[in-house]
Amino acid sequence: MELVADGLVKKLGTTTALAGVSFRLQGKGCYGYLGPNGAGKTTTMKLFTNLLRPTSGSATIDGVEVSKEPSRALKAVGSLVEEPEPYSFMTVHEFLEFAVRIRGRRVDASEIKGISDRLSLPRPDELCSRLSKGLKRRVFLAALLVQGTEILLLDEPSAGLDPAESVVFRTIIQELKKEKLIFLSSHMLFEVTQVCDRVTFLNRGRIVETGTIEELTRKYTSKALRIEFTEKVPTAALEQLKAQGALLGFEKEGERMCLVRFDGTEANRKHIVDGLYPMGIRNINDAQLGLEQAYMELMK
Amino acid sequence: MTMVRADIGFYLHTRRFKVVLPIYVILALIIPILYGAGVLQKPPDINDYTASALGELVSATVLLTALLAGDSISQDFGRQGFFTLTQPVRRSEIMLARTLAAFLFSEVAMLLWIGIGLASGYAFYGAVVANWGLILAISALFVGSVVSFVVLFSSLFKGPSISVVVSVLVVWLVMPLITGVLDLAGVEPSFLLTYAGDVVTNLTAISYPQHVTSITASGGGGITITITTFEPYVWEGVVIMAAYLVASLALAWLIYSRKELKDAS
Repeated sequence: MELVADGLVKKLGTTTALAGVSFRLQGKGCYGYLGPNGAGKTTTMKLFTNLLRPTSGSATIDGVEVSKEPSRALKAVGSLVEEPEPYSFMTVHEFLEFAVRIRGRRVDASEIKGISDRLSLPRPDELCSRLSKGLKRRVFLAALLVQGTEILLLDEPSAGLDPAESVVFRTIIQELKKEKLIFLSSHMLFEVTQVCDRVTFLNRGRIVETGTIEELTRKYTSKALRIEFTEKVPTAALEQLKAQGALLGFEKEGERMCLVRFDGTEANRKHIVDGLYPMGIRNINDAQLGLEQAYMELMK
Repeated sequence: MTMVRADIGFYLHTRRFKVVLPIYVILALIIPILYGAGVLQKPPDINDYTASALGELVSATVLLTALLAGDSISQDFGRQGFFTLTQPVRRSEIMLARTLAAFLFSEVAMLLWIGIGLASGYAFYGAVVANWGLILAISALFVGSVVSFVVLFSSLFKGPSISVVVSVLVVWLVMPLITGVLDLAGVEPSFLLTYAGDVVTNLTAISYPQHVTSITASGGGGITITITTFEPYVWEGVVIMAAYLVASLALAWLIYSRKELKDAS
């Protein structure tokens, strides 16, 4: 189980959607691909599913280059890219059977029923054309599960799902990642924190950071302090520290609370604490902002 | 086979098919009914009768095929493609499945029309035209070439509706129009598929029509107009059809296999 992007560049007209993206995902687990709209997440997914061809570089699945041998490369991959439409004339059951047969596999009716029940799919004889957006999404998730591929590429998978469906979906991903490689793009940080082991941040077609959730949380959390003062936030003292270069900025979070950003060095941490101590500090902590903080920093 | 079965299911369930096929069959029944009811006087022999019964066969089949197959490829460049094109199936297989399914439906429809023409002829005259076997064979080739040509058009467009409309306009309106203009100019339209399709009805005649016929009409003021009409040789029609079939499929495959799904409608 391996997905490799090697210097992927994709130009769409005059826009460079991907500007040399490289990564290697190996083995079981859930890998998050985070970035704002237009960062290049869906373009990457499309390059891995042969919906687009790279301008340069390569997307490889289990050693097979997608643009050169798409049908062989895609054997191991089930994908949910953008907002697919099922064959409208098929019933839910027929579509799930079709999803299995198109991969040359035999249909296991009990497996289909089990997955349908688990995802609370509509009646098997319900026409796909009559389903709501959210239900169609669930049918596609069910199709991915019945296809039983080792690698799953999920592009904004919980878009269109209601909160209850999202919970079911996250539970399923948490189970699946024990035996599959899941590459999941999203801009929903909570979802990524819940299900992903490693995260890659993408911005303007470039990878800007990669690491485990813990690594990134630690790295970016250590760059902020949340300080509670005994009196009003001492704005003048903070401005002075900023002028001295000890802190990068601060945000008042109420009358006595303040979030202070700095470069993460021990020297500056000490400088800030020493400088503010005479103002009356009731409490001081590393700000627990986690992935959200990392995201905000990286997307600047 | 999975794709072919799915595509056959698609055609069986399309509103187009449910509406167009009955109309097509009704059109096929009009001439036999009019003759049978005595509204029209029966032609003197089975050949004239069959020519009359199959008179609109080519244009009706072209229209039916364009309506059926006009979006066979373009549907993959809508949101359906996010599923179909991400499966481990070669695009050439998907395209062939779509072409085959469209061919089967158009061919069945054409066989119905020919069947109605031949059967009613047998009922009225106790015989069928001598060339019926050749008519069936060439009509199958004609349907195949029309399907391929329409599939080519459907690979050029992203939106299913626009590709259906353009296909219908090209094969049902533009081609016959060009034929008319070329007749006036005295040029043989040997590059047009609809021209080749005339072979099917020409084969109903006792003696195959002449390749070139010129009619000169004199108007007032000494103006004379010469209209030259062309009838394709059987071999010529077969060559044109085969060329369309092969070239259209090859081009459609070239386009389909390289086309990207940048965004979907």
